[in-house]
Amino acid sequence: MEDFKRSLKSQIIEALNLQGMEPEEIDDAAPLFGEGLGLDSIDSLELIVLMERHYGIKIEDPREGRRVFESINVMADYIQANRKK
Amino acid sequence: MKDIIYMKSASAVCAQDIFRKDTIPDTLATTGNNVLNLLEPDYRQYFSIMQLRRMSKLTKAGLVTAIEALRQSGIEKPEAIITGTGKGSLTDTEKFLKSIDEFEEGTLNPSPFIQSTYNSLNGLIGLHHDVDCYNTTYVHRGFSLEHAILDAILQIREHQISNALVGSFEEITTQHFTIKHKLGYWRKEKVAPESLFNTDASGSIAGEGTFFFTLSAAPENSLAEIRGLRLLFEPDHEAVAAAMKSLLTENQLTIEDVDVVVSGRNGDNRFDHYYDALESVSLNHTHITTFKNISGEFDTASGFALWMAASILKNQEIHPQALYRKGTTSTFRHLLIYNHFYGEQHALYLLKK
Repeated sequence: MEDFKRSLKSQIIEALNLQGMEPEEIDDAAPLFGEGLGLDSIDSLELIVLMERHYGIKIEDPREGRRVFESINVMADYIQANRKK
Repeated sequence: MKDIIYMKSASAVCAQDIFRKDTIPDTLATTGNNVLNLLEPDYRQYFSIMQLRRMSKLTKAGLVTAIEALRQSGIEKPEAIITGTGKGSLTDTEKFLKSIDEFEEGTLNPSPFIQSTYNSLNGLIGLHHDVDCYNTTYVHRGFSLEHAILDAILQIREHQISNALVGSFEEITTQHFTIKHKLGYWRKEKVAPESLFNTDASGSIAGEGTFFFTLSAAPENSLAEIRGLRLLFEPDHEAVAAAMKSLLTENQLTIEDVDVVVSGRNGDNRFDHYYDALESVSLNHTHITTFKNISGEFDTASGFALWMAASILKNQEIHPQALYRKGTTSTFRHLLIYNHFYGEQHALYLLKK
């Protein structure tokens, strides 16, 4: 699971173009939006695209997205439970 | 008499090292592949990493150029933000179109789509300066910057606004260079910019850049007066000559009063006859200058002409590589810009110190 979280963080860094940031700098339990990483609404759309392209998971309800993208821990659990590829 | 429009500041990012400067450097950037790519400033002085990550090359360059134009003018909150671009952010457009194809019109990344829209730079400028004023981008090929300037002039003259941030932005990508190469826009053989006018061939060299100016009704600390603008679509030589004459007459001037002509000559033997015709009626004391051997050719290259005109009037100096035909006058007061984009969109500007 730790390897998977690290890979997920690398994918997020690339998708959101977080230049100069390393996976270790993202706290697994910290909020991705608002405080913590400080992502915004366009980032949430980018994460929806990431989920579909890498894991075949379609998130159509924005409220579900808000819950899934709470933190790396929550996101990783959700992907493992719902991934189609 | 119509109200005079004053240019308060001029800012540029292009192939030459002129960002935050008001003269062209002695040593010019050159190219061996017929493209003069823009020189990117150090953006970290202006933006955080979180802000930078979503901006494309052209958006970053355009935003810092606009920031500097406003800073130089002392205007914190412009009353209008008006730009022109022939193609907008091509990098993002290409990225978005490729992803449509790659992912079969499925879920697409929003950032390239947002950045590819023509008005995204204007939106960022407005957000950065916290202004919700009039905000428009004109996309009219070789007339794009001219329509932005015309819009600002009309609004200032009608007293709807007292100042405006006006600018242009253009980029060239590898793919777009190839497409335009096939259409005959560029030289078939490699040509150095400094030798552009020494060879008789069709096509020119490509360029890119972003240029911003603040225009105002107030004369204080201005770089130049914009005394008039004429736009002509696919004219003949006589129509260009008549437009120039009416522009001068409107300002109680004649051809004898023109000290400098900034010519949009681009070395393309299919269209440079327009410049030959206009230059042939210029008198011996008038200096004829060129700029596309310094900036390259693009839809809004007239932005470089305006920047260079402001530089010449302010510093009373002409860069040696810009000098096409040396005149005898040593004082530069009235300056005429004549530019066209591949024979279609023609523009004449009259500036006064």
